Amino acid sequence: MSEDRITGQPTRPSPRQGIAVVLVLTFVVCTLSLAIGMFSFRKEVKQANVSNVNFLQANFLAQAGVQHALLKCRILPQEAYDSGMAFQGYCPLQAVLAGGSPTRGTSSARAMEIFISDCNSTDVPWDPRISSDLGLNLADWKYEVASMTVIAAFTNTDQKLFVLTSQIIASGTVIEHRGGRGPRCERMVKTIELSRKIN
Amino acid sequence: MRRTGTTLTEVMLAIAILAVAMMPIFHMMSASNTASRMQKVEGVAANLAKEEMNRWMYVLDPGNFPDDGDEHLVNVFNIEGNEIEIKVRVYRHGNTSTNVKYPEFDWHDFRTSCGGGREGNDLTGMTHDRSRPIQEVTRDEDRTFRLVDIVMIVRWRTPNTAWSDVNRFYLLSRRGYM
Repeated sequence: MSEDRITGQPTRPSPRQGIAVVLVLTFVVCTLSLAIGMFSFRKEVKQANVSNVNFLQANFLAQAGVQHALLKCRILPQEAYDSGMAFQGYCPLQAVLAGGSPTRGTSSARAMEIFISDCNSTDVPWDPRISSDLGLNLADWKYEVASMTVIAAFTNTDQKLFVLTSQIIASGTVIEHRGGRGPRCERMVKTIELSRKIN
Repeated sequence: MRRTGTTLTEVMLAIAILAVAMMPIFHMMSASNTASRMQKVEGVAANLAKEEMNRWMYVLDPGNFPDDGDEHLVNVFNIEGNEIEIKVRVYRHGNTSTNVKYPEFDWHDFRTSCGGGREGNDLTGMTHDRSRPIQEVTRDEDRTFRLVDIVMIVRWRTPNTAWSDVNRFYLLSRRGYM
């Protein structure tokens, strides 16, 4: 407690003494909270962006799988069709007419499994120049055709065509080191028609 | 007489605390602001890259693609002063000896098998795994797999920053055509 310089009486400290420091500290704490809030929000946005890019990368890899399967169907149309018919348990030269009840044997996915077994980035690898030109680790970029099934078979008598409706499921996996995320996998489903002409 | 207000020492102390504390905070806020802007640009870049990649995958004629392995500048987008650059490299699959796997069937007389006969009972056992080079199975003139590996290189920067490896990503895909 200090003394009044005129009266010599002891004076009580003012209730406002030290208020400046308290005010400043309060202001600093508030501003710091705001900055931390902004920082953590930025981190969240960054994660969302990396996740978005990861999705695109994996999705385009899955699309590569679909493209590979489609090209193979174009190169080997008869094998694709026959595999599809075997998948359904039909003879490839058997007509499947609407309203009819075609005889079906034991279905087998074996032919289809063989057909899609090399539709991946391991059996038909990426061009090695991608790695040397751009420094990408190609082991981090993979796709494969996970399955190819037949969901319907019918014979179009007007167009003299055997037709199969087939579903290709491809998956793409990418490991993006930016952002330190693990592997990201995306699947893509494509429905196509396989046909064979009736001679 | 009561003393009111603040002492000079107190004010000086407050200013010192304020100065010391606010400098890193302002720096943090400024960095956060720059990074937020960069991230906003990254989001736009991802959308533009998606559209562009779809064009290269499904719209453009592969016959008009750039030369094998060459880097092709697609576009430099300028959005609110930020720059987004998209480049593409295409690599054609030229290996004529790439093996292609296909199933081979021990087909027999269909007339006896269609009714759930021998073929229907053991289709798996009558299907064999075969492999031949692409040049022997394709009907294409080139005798190659008509596969093109497409790599898209996307990078971006804000007006006050330089191009950096950090602000870049790749898209990789493959297109088949005949």
